[in-house]
Amino acid sequence: MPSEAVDQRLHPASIAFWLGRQVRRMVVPMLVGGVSAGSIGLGWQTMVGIILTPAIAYSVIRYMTFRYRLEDTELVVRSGLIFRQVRTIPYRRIQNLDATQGVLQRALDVVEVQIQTGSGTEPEATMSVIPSAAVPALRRRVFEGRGELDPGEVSSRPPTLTGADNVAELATLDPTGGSGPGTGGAMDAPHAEGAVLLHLPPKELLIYGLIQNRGMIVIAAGMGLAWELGLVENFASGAIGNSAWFQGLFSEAIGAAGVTAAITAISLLTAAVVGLLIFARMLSMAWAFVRLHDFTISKSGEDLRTTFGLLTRVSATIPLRRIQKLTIHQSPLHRLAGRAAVRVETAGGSRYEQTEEAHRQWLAPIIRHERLPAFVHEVLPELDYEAVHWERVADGARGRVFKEAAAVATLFSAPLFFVLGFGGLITYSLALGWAWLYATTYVAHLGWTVTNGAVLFKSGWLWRRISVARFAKIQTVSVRQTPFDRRRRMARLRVDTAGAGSGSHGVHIPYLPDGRAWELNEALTAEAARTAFKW
Amino acid sequence: MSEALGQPGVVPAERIDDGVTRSLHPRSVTVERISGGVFSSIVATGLIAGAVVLDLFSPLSAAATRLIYAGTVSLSFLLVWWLYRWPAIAHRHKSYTVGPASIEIRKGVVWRRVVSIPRSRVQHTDVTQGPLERRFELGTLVIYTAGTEHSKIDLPGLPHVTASRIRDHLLPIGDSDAV
Repeated sequence: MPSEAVDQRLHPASIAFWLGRQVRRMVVPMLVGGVSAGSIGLGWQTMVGIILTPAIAYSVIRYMTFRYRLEDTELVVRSGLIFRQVRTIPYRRIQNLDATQGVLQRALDVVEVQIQTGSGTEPEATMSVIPSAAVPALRRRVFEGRGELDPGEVSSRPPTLTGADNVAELATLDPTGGSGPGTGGAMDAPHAEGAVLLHLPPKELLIYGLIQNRGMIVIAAGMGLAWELGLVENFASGAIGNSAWFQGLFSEAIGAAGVTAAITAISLLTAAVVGLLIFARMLSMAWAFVRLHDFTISKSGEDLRTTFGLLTRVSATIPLRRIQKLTIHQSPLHRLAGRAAVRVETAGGSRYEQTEEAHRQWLAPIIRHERLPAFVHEVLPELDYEAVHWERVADGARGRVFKEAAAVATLFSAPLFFVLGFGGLITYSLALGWAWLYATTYVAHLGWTVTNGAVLFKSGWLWRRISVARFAKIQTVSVRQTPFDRRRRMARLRVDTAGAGSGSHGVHIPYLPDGRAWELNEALTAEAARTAFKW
Repeated sequence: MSEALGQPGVVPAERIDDGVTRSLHPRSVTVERISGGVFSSIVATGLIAGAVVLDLFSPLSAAATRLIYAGTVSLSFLLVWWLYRWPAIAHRHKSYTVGPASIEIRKGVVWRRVVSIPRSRVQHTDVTQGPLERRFELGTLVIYTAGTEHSKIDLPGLPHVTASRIRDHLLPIGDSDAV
């Protein structure tokens, strides 16, 4: 290509980061290796040398051979010494571009960049690490070279939401503000001036932490780390080995005779459980404060940009048109706090489903309920969220849900008759009452609608969710009928989208009158066929 | 509606995207019966061999042994009968409709499902043929979309010519950016 494009290399610090990553992965084998090496008379230094040498060689070779080039319409990445790989990624296929900076990376002023296309399994290109100064150029190139921006849409900048207390002013985007030294303008400055859609101050982050309860995950991660490092074994053998201590405790509890001791034990246990739960919530709040620190989402032109993180600074770019599905979540705690959460799925990000990184797809980890319509309008301009008129499912739905719930209740209550006798009857009637309540409220909260440009579905009584799939992002439409559906002349309709996580809430409408289902199937397929899918 | 098939290359004159609902070719029932027959004979052989081994190496009474033999043999017959009957029943409930803008595939006897694929969402297509299908001049059309649940949709039992024609019909339209 006759362009001024030149090959660019990674930052030399890449070698150190790659080495670090591999060493982290090898900690356990090295510990095991160290122990067994001791038993065959090799010093642990020798073992470490044997393991580290190839890792160092690999990191150096990788650095030496990795090159990328920004062509006019595509990104070209070359790597490999023996097996050479040249990967060409057209800009217009790029789904999202994530830039991540850990603490060390910030100190060295370098960034890890991940580029994703629709293949969905892993990032198409990972540039780990490049100088922060190179990021704006990369981002500009990728998103301008895409050549999809409609000039009319770009010129009409979206209005900033003003007068909102958790929507910060544009000043937050001041590159030097708030994110510490070393970050520079590379991470925080958007490639064009953008309107801030949502900024989360610490208070909101603490509420988010309280509601989401990530504490158990933090604890689990800590336990995993401790186990990997062999701490648990030491601790366990220490505690159990010291069995005299246990015996003392037991004999004291039993020997001290009686009810008071038992009550003490039970209340202690309860206190411990409650304490653990509170501790988990507090951890969760701390976690949210660190991970999502200074969470900002802004819209510039046709792209959404999120930046967040106190230690590891993440900056992700999601082109608006790449949003495959939008889901609004409301848990009971959310409603209590008058908040909601908004999540989107892109075709490039499905692998994040299982990982910590999943919240890159939280457009709004937490947002005031009254701000929701304006926020959704910014993301999906064609959708008038407030004016949505929800359609109900078929009339017989409540009876069917009740029958299903009652069948479950019967199944679980039946053994209680034998154990409790008359008491079983009481629990059974309670269970039936619950089944009735569930059926009524569940069906009351089911709703679907087709508006201009999108199909919406809401479900859930306590945990409410609303999913929006735009016609242009519908992949297939399917209608299913179980034998029960056919008997009651009902059907269920599912809309399949790209990048949908397994088990994520989608437009899966049950208990539709079957005529409606066929009509809807035909209408949605026709609408989808009319629009060209551009990932 | 009957298909003009037979020699490859002889393409029926009428359009493929006429929106008419068609059944799969009757020969697909034969193909499924043959593969069902192979499967059931393997399973039946295994069952009977198991019964013989049990007879030879375990101290069961003669009556119990006879019962086991009777059970395995009748189970095998049931399997053979079922795998003979089922393809015809399933065939009655399978159909496809190719319209100008979409293709619809219906399957399922007890649990029924219909998948509609807009033509603009087809990423790519395959026409595959197993050895049996080749023998009977049938083919399987496989449609890939960018979706998750229905990222791959099979339509087996088409005459190979028809499968190829639908594939050609589904090839991306115009602007390559639809991919």
